Amino acid sequence: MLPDHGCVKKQLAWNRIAFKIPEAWEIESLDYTHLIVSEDGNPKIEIKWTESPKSFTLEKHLKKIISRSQKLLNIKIRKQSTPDFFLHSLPGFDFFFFSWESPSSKGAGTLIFCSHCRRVTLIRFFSNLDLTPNSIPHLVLTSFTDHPLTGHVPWHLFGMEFSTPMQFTLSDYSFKPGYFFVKLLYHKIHLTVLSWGPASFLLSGKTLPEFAKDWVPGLKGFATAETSDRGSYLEWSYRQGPFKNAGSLPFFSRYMRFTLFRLLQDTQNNRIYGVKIDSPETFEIELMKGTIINGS
Amino acid sequence: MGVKGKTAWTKKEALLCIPERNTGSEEIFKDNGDLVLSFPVVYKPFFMRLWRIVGATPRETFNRKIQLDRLGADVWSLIDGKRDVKTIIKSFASLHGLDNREAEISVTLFLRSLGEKGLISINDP
Repeated sequence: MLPDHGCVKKQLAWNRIAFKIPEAWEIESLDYTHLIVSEDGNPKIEIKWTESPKSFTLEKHLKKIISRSQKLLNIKIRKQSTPDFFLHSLPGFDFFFFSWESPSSKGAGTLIFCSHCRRVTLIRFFSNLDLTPNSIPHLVLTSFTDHPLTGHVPWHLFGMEFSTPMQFTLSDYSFKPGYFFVKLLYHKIHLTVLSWGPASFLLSGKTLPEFAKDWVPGLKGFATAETSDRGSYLEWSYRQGPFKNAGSLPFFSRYMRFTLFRLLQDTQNNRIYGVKIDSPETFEIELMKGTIINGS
Repeated sequence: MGVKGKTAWTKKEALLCIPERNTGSEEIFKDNGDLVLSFPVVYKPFFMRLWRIVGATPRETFNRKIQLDRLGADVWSLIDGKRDVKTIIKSFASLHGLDNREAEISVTLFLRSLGEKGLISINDP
């Protein structure tokens, strides 16, 4: 391991969990509450998180999680004292360090309880990653957060970078080469962030409206070109019922949904982003503005 | 697939493998950046028997063509028998500004399909 780890700069943010990792590390697999990060197929860090029940005693809750993790991961966990040098910059985090051992591997890890969002996160580092001052585990843990620090949740993975309003929760996702989407839900409002790449290939000999026609079925009406601080984008805004002409029937008008769709090209990351909001109510345009697509 | 030696590699080993083009393929470049690969395919024994039954002179091979889009053509151009899979992935990712993991999945799937068609062989690292 190198003595200086200034390389721990790559931001990773998924479903409210955010931390920094070395440039060469990649997401190997992910789930709603689980992440494995590896380098060339060798696992480096595994993260699993869970919400705490409404009423609980921390000690019992942690014991339960440790026992469940030992069974699930087929590992033995041994408690370790908190290193003297370790200090997280944010208040509200309790760290419980441990070492773990499986038949084929061993390493260090920690359980993190956040008193702000009541989430418990288990992080385990794989072999040769010891927790020493300025080591990779140290820098990863000090950069760790499990709740957004502003009103927006950052998302940063697979070259995608955006943030969404805090009240929305993840309902579905897909990351297939060339096409990603993340769907979020708040009451009956659906927010979907889509991303296609590489934009230079997809838009060769094609304009953005032509791309939308081919790749985003169901868009209605004409697109208006608008400009925001993130560049120019196309916007579609329309009402849609469960079937054609449903809006003209009084009974079905209650099932009409309002849809707003924005499409823009992120030239810096060579991707095309789409943001779609659909809601049963006339939604506030501020909600859309709350969905931020970062250009960098 | 023209895999020599081991049949199962770890991911690390697989990334160090060196793909090599099979020499029988012909390249035809299109104006739009697409690439057509023409390569000989051996007839299945059933068709060989059929040739004989109808009394025709049996032919052993026929030419099959596949068309690669610009992205496929870029990966094809990176296969030179020297670069390993990892290098091809990194070059492809930087060429198109893609995330490494996204490039890794698409390039490895593409290499696998080329291997299944007999257009490349994969050599041990």
